[in-house]
Amino acid sequence: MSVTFRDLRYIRVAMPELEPAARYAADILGLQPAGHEPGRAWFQSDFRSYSLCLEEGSSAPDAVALTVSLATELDIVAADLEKAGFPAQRLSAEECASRRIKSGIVTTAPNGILVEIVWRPLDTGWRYHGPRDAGIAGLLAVALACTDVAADEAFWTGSLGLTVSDWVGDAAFLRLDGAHHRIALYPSRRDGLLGISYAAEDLNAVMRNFYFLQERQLPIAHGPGRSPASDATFVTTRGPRDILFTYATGMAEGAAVTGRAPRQFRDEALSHCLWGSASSVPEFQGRAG
Amino acid sequence: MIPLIDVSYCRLTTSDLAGAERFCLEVLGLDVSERRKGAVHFKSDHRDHTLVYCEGDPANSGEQVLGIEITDATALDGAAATLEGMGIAVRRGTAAEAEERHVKDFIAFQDLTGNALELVLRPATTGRRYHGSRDAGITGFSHVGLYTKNPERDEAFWTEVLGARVSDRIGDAPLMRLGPIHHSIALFPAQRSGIQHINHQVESTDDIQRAASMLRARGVDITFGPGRHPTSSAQFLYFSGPDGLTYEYSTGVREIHDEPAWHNRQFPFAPLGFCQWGSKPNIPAFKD
Repeated sequence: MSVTFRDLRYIRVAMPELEPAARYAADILGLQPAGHEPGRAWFQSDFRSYSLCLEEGSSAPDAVALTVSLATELDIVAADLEKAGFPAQRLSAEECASRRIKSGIVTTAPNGILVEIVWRPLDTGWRYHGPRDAGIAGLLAVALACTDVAADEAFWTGSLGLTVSDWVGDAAFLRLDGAHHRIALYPSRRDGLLGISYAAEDLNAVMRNFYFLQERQLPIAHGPGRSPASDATFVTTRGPRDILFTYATGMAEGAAVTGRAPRQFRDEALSHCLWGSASSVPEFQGRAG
Repeated sequence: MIPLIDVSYCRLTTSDLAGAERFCLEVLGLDVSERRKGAVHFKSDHRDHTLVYCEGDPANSGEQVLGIEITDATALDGAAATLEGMGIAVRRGTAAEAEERHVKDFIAFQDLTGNALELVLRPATTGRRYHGSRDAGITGFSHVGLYTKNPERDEAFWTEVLGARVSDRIGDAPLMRLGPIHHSIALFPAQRSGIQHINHQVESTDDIQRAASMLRARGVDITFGPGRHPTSSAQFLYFSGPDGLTYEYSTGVREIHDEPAWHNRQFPFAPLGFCQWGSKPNIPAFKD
């Protein structure tokens, strides 16, 4: 693996109905609307021009994008993927425009989601200012459900060169920059997108969001809790299409993560939350659950 | 001014001593320091004990006692004279009572609402460290909420006679410090006297939040939180104990070291005055 990815760039999610999902993203999650056109809406959470794109009625799978630094790295990644049996296509000019990138390639991960490798994605000079004070500090991570988690781990680590920071049972937390993880793979009875995590400013922001959700009688799928693997304090709700949305703060980063070997945590619910919070999500129970 | 140092202990009466002990050990996470006839003493920190449950009538608020440490013997005599000069009945503790409390000497009286107070001299510290019956992360007994029938009158008594300083107010409820800790005594308006809540500090956010999961699983009535006080900045969890008394865990309480630089603030007597995260109290004294 000869390429270092700059960041986890954006998530694109197919929604059967755009309008209610877009209202949810803004009014509940606190993301800032960042453009819309028939069938599509974009949302800003940080310095990125957008980090979430909702697409109406799309039959296309959900997509996760990683950024490369150089145009030539797109070819290197494409060749690596090809060699590993994951053919990649170039994105057309029109596809690049709608993704707000200069150029990119796309392939399909073993769990069926699209993985887009992008160059020169658009940033914004206008800082994020959410419709409500959700304390969002940026896109943090994405969680994927995998019926064959070993195949997905091999894809992300072998073909794309991400590094395992920790395992909880067979769930794998993968890093691509200084953060403990940007991609989390969970063994599951289904394939696809499991959830999206946004960084919250601090514990206050996480807990305010918890009470904000509770007051509106929205489901608390997990938390408030703290992950013993990533150190992050989080609260997770269930949104449109049952996708999990998480606010998290305090994720381990830097030498605390890169300076040690990956750790294996027991396959149990306490390895997903050391506060012992209850969860309705099967992927967070561990085998013991 | 009577020179007080810090809250020292609470002595409570209960009709179910075994139940109170079970609560203190299995739920609260205290440590038994001593069992006496009809009484159990509990330890939460370096002090000999900070909580006592005695057999008796829990409805008699005159028997729910707060002990406060006073600086020295001269001050104790002076306090007795000052209080008597105000027409307050003062009772000198007997040697047997002092021994039971592990203090050198003490006086007992009631404040104007009728809260039973003891000013104690040289309460014992032990070399045996606190080792909780469960991993609650308790670092010590820290403050007490008392009822007041007249907050303005009682605040004046506490500040002008007992030397407390108001750190902040929630509505008419003053949060008052004796030392650097944001509040050691809080007065909550009600038509009664007695102890409203007892606070123990815990090490960290983790302890607050783990306690919430643990108490919920045990069916303990969590009455407020997890939350964060905008006044003291402490994260908290309130829950019901024996005889309906409220217990609190908190962590991260603000300290005030530069007395002249601190100006007390007024917060609303409303959920947001008690919790900046949006948790709503289900505690009568914290509601209109």
